[in-house]
Amino acid sequence: MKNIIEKTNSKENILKLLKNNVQWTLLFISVLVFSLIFPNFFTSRNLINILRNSAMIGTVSVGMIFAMIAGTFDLSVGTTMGLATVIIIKMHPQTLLQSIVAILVVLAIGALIGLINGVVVGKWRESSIITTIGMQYVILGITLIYTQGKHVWADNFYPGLEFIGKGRLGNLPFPIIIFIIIGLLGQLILNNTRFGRHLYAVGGNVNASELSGINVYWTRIIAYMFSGISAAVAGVMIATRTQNVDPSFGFGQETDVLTGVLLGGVSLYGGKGSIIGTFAGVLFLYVVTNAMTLSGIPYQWQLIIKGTLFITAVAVSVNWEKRG
Amino acid sequence: MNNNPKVIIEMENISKHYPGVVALDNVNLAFYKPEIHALAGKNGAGKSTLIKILGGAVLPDSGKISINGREIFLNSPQSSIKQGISIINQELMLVPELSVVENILLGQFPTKGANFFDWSTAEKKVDRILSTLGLEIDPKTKVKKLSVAQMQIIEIAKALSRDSQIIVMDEPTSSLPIREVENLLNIVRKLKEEGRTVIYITHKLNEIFEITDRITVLRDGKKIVTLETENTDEREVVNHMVGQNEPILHHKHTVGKSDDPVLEVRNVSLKNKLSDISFTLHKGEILGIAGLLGSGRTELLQAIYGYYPILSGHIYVDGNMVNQPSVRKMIKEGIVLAPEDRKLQGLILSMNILDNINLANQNSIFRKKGAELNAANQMKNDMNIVTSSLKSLVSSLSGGNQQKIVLSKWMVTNPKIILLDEPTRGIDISSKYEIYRLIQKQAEKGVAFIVVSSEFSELLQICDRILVLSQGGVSEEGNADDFNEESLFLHASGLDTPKVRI
Repeated sequence: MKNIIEKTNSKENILKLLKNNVQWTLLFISVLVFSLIFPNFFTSRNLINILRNSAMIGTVSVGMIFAMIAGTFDLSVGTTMGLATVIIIKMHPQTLLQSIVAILVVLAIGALIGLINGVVVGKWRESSIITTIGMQYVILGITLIYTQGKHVWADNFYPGLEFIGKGRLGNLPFPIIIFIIIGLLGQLILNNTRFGRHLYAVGGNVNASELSGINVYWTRIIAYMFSGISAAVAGVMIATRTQNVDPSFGFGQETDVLTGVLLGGVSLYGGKGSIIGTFAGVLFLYVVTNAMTLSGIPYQWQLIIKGTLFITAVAVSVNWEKRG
Repeated sequence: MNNNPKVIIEMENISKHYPGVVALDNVNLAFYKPEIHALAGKNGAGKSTLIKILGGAVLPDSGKISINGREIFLNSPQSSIKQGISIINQELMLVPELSVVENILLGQFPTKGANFFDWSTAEKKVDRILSTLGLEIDPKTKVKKLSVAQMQIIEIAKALSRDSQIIVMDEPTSSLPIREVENLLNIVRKLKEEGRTVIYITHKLNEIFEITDRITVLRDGKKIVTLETENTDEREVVNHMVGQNEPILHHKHTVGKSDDPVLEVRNVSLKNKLSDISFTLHKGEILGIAGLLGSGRTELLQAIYGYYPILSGHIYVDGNMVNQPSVRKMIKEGIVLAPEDRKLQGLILSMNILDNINLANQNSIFRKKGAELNAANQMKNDMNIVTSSLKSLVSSLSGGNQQKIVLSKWMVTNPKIILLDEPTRGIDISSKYEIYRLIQKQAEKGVAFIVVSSEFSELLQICDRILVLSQGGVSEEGNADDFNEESLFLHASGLDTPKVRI
């Protein structure tokens, strides 16, 4: 009798382990399969390429999960990233001082957008989906006014600034290092600070949080500010790497972020999620994208596959939530 | 009794068990046609399970139900409606954005032609029903624009539109203003005159004696007795409800209680709930608040906690008035609340035990994980929390252990005043006594308590002093020793001096 109990327990434990790390399982299986199918896939060049591509969206994801753990959405991250990119390119910094000013300006703008999102959602109890979709268009409009609707580009920046997007430490592109640092910082905040506990509490149960004396309003505002700031950081990375973008760049990218985040196990309803899961979710998304490019699947079909992946991520997330 | 009433619905040997609880134990009951039949009993007596079985929402474990002598099976709300049974719940089931006609005929709207709504037939039908109920409103009015009393009548109209012969009403007057109650009672009388059976559940004894023909008392899932209303009185009913052999461990708790006031409530009024409430709580004192459902007892606790808005009046802590009370201000003053609904208001179910216990005790920006672990371990020992790991989710714990987590969360903050709303609702007997002991131990250390409970025996057992709320005010106040369960019931239902029925 005791044996049976122990057996079911160990079976349950394995299932639990798999369930808790399903993102990583998925990631390893996909890497394995694609390595067998595409000879060019498992090369250090391609793998680093995947990592570098996921660094941008990954950085945005770190901020977005703050908002999502607190039980709110932030769909304005795509255009926030776009605005930050455009501002850096148009400011065209040529000295260290100009570079620092430019970075501070876009970080402040990201924080301001988050502040506005948080106040509107918190004060008027507005649906966060609606608020941040609205904000997305407002930011896009501002970006288009700022660029007069024209493509923006810059020939060269102050070399130190350019290093952010183009530099390498050893063999590793610098954006990957920034992503890892931001991720570690996020992990530190989520797990080791009072604010981190409050985020999970507010997302888990607003009423109980309020009755426990947690400032729900400010917790959500600060979560949104982190989201805006990390989108701005991603904007700096992209501006200094590509040095030229379309004025509507960023619009639509929030879907990629959301797909990665949901694949990473962050709850649609708040209260659950981790950096490490999100990391795997975003990597998985980019592994699939990369494999599609290698296979030569036309862009139209890539969109269909991505959309399907997004819907699946939502469905699986909702389903798990129901089963607890 | 009216001219030869005959049995319309009979319930035989009905039992229902939930894990750890016997909700109904071999209940035998018969309802006549026509009659108004009261179901009386304390919370947890089994009334609501009985209603749910009649409504097809819950299947009994065993037993037989028959209508007009024919056995029936109620396995869904639809099957129960088909048998002519309508349940009117305390929380009304109306669609606010739809009109009166649409609500009354919801699910049975008349159609014509290719399935189009037949509005004129519908309105005629509804007009006829509403006029028998004496409600003069335009059937096209949206339900959200009606008063609660009118909505209540719409629910009755819904039952009549299905020609239900058995109408069950659960606390129909609990949210009605006093002047509307009489009108509703008249309608209930009329339902009986038309030959229907009304099963009437209420805490208010005066209503029971005003309109019912018979009274069935349930206690702890058992049917105690069915009485003819004419031949009994309030005292007898309350005696049956309370029972004679309640284990009353009357304590004489005088050790911690002192004369130093820690909390003064002065002339506090809450919108539509309470007016001009004043009382004083002393250091080490356990004050009970007794009141029926809807008496404003929960709102009063929440107002003291800074959560429910105060219309007028003031709250003083240690002699100092608190300006614009808020939850965080009150926590800083050392006042904490363990709310009525553990799962919705007390716990973060998606977080583990450790995090829940330390939720309110985060004083620095960075977490002190060692201190958190120590606090949780100490609480686990002090409160006897049964769990394999502090990392388990609180959702996996029993009700009793969950309540201990809510209390632990506050104990680590060293509060001065603890407000408890239904501290032992739905928890097992041993946890219950553990919580009583905790309350006494803390009171001896000087912590003051205000306890709200619908279990009056609980208040008598643990409190030093009891305040009775009724009809928006304090109707009685005194030492716990000067009350018994019966007198608390009478005061709380607004029947201070039991009337003699002639």
